[in-house]
Amino acid sequence: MSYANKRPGGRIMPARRLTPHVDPEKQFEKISQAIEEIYKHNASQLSFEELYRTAYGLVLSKNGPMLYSGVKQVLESHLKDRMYQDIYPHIDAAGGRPTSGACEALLASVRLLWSEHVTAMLVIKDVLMYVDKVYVKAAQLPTIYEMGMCVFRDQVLLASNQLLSNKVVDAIMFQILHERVGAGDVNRDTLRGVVNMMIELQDPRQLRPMYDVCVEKRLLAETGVYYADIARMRISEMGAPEYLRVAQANLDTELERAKDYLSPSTTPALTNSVLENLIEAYTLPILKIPNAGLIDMLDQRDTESLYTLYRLYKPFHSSMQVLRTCIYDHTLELGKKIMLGVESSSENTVTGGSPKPATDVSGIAARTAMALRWVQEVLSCYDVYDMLLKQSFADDQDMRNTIKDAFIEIINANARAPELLSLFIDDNLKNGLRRKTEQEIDHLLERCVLMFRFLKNKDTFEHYYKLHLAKRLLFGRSLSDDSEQSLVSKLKVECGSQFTLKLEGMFKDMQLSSDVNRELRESSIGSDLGFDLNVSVLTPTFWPTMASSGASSGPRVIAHETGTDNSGTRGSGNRDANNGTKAPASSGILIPSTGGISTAIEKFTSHYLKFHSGRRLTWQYGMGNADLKVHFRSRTHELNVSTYQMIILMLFVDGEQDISLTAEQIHIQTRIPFEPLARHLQSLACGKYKVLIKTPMSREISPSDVFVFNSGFKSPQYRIRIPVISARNNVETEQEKEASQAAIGQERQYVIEAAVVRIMKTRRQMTHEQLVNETVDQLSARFMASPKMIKSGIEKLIDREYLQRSADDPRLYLYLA
Amino acid sequence: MAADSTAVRLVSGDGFSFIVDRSVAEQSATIRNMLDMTRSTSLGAGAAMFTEALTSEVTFPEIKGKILEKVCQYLLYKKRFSSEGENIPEFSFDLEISLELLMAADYLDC
Repeated sequence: MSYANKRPGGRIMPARRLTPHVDPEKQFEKISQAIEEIYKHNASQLSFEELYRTAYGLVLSKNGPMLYSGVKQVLESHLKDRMYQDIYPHIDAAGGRPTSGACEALLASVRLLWSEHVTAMLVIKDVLMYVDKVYVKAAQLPTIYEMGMCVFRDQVLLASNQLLSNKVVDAIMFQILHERVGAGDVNRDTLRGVVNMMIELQDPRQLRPMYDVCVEKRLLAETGVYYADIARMRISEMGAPEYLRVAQANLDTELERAKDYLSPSTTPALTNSVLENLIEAYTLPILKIPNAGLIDMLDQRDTESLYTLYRLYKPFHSSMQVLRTCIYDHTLELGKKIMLGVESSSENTVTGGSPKPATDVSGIAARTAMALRWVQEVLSCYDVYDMLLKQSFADDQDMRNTIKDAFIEIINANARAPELLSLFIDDNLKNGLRRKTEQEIDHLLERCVLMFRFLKNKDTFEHYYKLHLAKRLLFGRSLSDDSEQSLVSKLKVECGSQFTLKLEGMFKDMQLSSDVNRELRESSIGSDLGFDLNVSVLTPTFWPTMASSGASSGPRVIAHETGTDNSGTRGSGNRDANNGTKAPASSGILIPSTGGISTAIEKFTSHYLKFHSGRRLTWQYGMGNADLKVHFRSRTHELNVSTYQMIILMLFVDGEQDISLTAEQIHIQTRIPFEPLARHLQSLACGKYKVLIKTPMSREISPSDVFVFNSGFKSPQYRIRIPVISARNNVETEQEKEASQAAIGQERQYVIEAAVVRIMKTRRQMTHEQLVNETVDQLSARFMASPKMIKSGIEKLIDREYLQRSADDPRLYLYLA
Repeated sequence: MAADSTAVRLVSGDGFSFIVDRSVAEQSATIRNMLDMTRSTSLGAGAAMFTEALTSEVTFPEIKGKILEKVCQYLLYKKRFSSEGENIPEFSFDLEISLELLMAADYLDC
């Protein structure tokens, strides 16, 4: 109450008692009797005010200690009586072989006594509030309520050497076990009540709830033993999926039990105790259960069981490690299987073939198909694991890395992976994207980029990709420009613009070329030609050097290629040839004068140089193609042939009738190198469409073979494409592979030297190890640089005086500005 | 007035009766305990109710009517202003009764 001094002069009246003083003993007697009445639920007969006032009076008259200890004694003797009355009979009954019913009776009686005691204490505490407020506080004693709890603990649970406490814990354990083994329902309300009692009461020695000290410890120990037994039995009887499912069900039941009538604080330890015995102790055995272990779950894509597995293993770091190792090993195993499968089936197709499969068309095609299958299968395998990662392993970071590492291993175990991946992309961009939705295409490209990310030798991939892309662009085989561009931009994101610079340059060249061609067509030159001429103007630094071109060009050179479409007709000959391909000025191939091809080349050259003076054009024929109208005896066909084939066919145009030429003669007249010439002759004379007739009729081409035009050629189709071997992208032959390796090796040497110089320029001086490590590190995004190559690079740089060895320390390199 | 509120009678030692709202009376912790009707036991709610709770009447033999009147004023004042942070007017009383008032406050825990 606030106080305001209104009348400073007023006199403070003394407090006087209205009721007479009474003997403290008698006063206490009132309280003592009231407590008994409260226990009997007779509070309504009592006046709260009177009891409160009595306690108030006792405290004010300094009789607090007497009151406090008196109340304690009353409580003690009351509980003692109740023990004899209500509890001991049940203890005796529960002695001997315990039964669920006896345990329930004991627990129920304890719980009833407890709840009555608590209720009474709540009332008593209120009545004696003034004692708590004034006396207990000053004397630093437990409050009345706390004192009441301790009395219960000491008089009931811990009396007679913890007799009841032990019996109660036994009974709780018995009931839990009873429930666990499914022997019948137990009264969970009773258990909950008793457990709550144990939680509320403090252990006298450890200052923790008695539940922690007595119940939880026993519970965890017994749970452990129980599940250790069960696990031992189950592991030999069940497959992993079932084992895991049952383990999860056990865990769920235990947690539900803990939540329902045990303490929430038990949950983590209980989970641990269950899983330690069911899972951790059998980490490896579960995974290795024959015919129903991890491998089988993975192979059957049992996402649900795997998810259970993951959840159960997750709490144990070491188990997770074992799981990851097993998955890693199995993935590698799969990778090997894919590799073996692909190899064995490719051997099957090739076995029995000639010892030189390089020229065996079907052999190469089959091996290419196998290569594509390898990529396809590795990617599908990855799809599966990616799906498992998301659906079963909760996108776990460590698991993701494990899978990633496994695939890096698988992919790089195949030395041809970069080439195969590029081939796979090539095949898809040429054929595979048909019948696919945009999403599927995007997914496919994503996967390709992913595989690319896993490649250690990215520069090798770049080498092949350029090669394959060049063919796609020059032959116009790409199905979708968008997909091409999107793939390049994805690679750019992955590896930076440096990496895709050349690829983008290739696209740019194609764009510029089409502009030039349009200009030409619209000008008078174009219309004079009598046929369509398409020339691709290529910047040599962007494009891979084609094996068939003799012309590697100088710095300023622009190589041209042309594809032409022409529909002229020549009365005299049986066929009309028109079209240009890449024509070389310098490579010495002779263009027959018929058909105006050479004129077209000249005209284009002068037209082009008019706008781009200072450039040099080198004509390349190896990659061009042409559409020819050819008059056969029965009808006219349009043939789509390569430039070389056009040149060959044009030799046969003029003759009155049957010009016959030997391969040797053709070689001399066209100056096409013999090896490509043989290939093209083969496809003209020995393929599905025999435009030329060869004598003798063998597959192999020898210089003395004679060719004549097949005027009796018949085909149901008007338009025919003569397949060109070189136009397809196939797995390289050993020979080509060596050439590629050499080219890549050379390129790497430059890159390494450049990197070494870059590093030394900033660091000025470094030891050999440091320099090698740093170089490997810097280049790891492109390829794995071998220390040997780096060493030779360093030596070359020393020779050229970019670096020098320190005079003091031979292992130290110094940078020379 | 809240729906659950009812009047209770507080009687002084010298026979004065004060009828106040239950929510006002319960501003005193002691009176609140006396009137507690919600104490439940295993036998159901109400079994632990005291006479005062059953009759809604409390007699204070030690408190004079004059003091109890002031106490009632104070309980009302406490209920009215205890939730407000500022602008609380002073509660005034005569200096003469200050000691007895103080004892009553201690007794009633308010």
